[in-house]
Amino acid sequence: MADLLPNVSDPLAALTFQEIGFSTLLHVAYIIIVAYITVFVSSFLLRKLSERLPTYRHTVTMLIPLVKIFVYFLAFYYIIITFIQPNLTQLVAFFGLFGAALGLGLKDLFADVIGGIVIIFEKPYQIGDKITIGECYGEVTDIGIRSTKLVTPGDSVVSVPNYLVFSQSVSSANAGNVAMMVIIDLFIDSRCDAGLAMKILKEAIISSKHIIVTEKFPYTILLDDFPFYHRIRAKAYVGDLRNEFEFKSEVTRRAWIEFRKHGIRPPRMRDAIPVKETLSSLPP
Amino acid sequence: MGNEEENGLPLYQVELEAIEQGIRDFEEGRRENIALISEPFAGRKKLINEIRKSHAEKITSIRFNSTITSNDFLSSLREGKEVVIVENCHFLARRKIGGFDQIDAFLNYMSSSHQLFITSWNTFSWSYLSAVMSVNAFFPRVVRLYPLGAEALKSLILSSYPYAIRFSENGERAADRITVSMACLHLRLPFSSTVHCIPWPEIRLPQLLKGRRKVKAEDAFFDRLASISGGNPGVARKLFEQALTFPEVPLSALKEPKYTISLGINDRFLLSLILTMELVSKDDLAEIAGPDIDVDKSLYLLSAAGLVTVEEATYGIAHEALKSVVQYLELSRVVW
Repeated sequence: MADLLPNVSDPLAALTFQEIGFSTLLHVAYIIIVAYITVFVSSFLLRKLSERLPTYRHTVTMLIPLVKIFVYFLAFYYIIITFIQPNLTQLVAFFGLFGAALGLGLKDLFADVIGGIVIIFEKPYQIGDKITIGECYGEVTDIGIRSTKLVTPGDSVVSVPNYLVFSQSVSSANAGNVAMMVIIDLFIDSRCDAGLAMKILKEAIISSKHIIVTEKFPYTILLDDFPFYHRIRAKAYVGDLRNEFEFKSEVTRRAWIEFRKHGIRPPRMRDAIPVKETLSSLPP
Repeated sequence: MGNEEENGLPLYQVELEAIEQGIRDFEEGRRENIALISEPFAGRKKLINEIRKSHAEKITSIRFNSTITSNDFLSSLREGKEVVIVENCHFLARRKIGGFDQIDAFLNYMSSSHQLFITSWNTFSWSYLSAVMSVNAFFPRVVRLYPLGAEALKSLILSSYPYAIRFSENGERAADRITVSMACLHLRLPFSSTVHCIPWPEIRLPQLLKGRRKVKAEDAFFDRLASISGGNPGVARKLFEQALTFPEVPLSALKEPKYTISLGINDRFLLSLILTMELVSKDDLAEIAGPDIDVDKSLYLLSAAGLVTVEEATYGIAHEALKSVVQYLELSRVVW
């Protein structure tokens, strides 16, 4: 170990630092601006392209974080060689020490960056996925160097640090696919015709403008019996996960209009309350 | 599709033979109901007419021209002969709650009947109904009308003109282009009644690559026509008529129709309904779409974009737009 230290420190000691003048700073600013514009333009173009290829939307958008990491690392490299002009040994030694410094002083930031790289290559989720991470649920709109941005159903933007991918379980509702399973539960009075209700819900599902049905994306209608009500559950895939809530709402509304026409009622609350409680809660 | 349009559509010999074989098998005691499936304008009607003509004495025929809302048609089936042709079965289903009762009744009747059913369907409607209610399970013998290659389109279209048509390059050199169109190799697999199409590309190389043999303007024209029309004979014929300046067809007159389609979900849905039903009235569309969709507005947008045509309040996909519409709706996952 003692033998190694001089080998590492010697090349660093031999590093030649450039004089930091106005032109150097201008050069650095120029690199940062070019990197930013490159990332911005390529992200914009890739997003536009992904909209034109709905089936491959997620594959195309996953190139965005890759481009970001590549461009920013390249920019970082050029900034380094603007200040110092190292040979290969010096460069390796520099990055070794720089990494150690990051690990000690900026370990959270470093963990986020590593987390970002893991997310890109391991793909626990992708841009466009609907995920639950920690207590947040929403659509992934961006995977950055440091954090992942989610848009919640309430349209709030949540930044989730990338390192959470190591410590929290991530649930992705569609796992990179544009289609996504949606579960719709309707509750009806147990005295109503459950068979008819299932038929209506099935037709509401298959006639929806949002649905996709193929061998890969089948649909199911299930009936579950509870003491005071029936639960009719539909599991079906929405063709574009962005329409998850519209699909749910459309099917529910159309099904209930038809339920009412056929005398199918929602369960009554008083049926769910035990008789004793009902009596005791009545005023004397 | 009117009778005028039907003239000049191809008589698909392989597919015709597959249906004839189905009838022969039925006569020998093996009943396999037949589904004839194709895109709009592909010539289902002509094929069915040919079957009807050659077996007139034992065939009862029913043709649906608009959406069916009652089960009255079943009585015609009950009184029918041993072979029943039911054309445009996609009109039996309406994509709404309660809109599947007629097709359910038809499939139930068909399952318990001893008659042979030869049915015709729009291909997109067939895919939808197969996915949502397994219609395909009722038809062991599926006959599809596949796209035609350049050669087939050429013989089909030219045979319908009694006079010679001249093809001119008119400033555009046919020999300079590489053209690729898709042709179909028919194949029946063992133990299957269905004729499959193995697509293979017909490639024409420029004169430079092919040596001295000159690519005729006529061949170049039909190569391009096959590519633009997607091999659909009805679309190809329409484009040919548009390019024809009697008695000459300049190569430059054949232009690929360009559509930039960008529609909202409601307009897209309505367009898919028109594609799957081929010809549909505004009232039927309004009934299927329900109160959520402003049908007038959507139809106006679709007509203005040149995607649909309207005749006597009945809407259909414009011939020239068919390929673009199908590509768009498939990409948007509205048709599967």
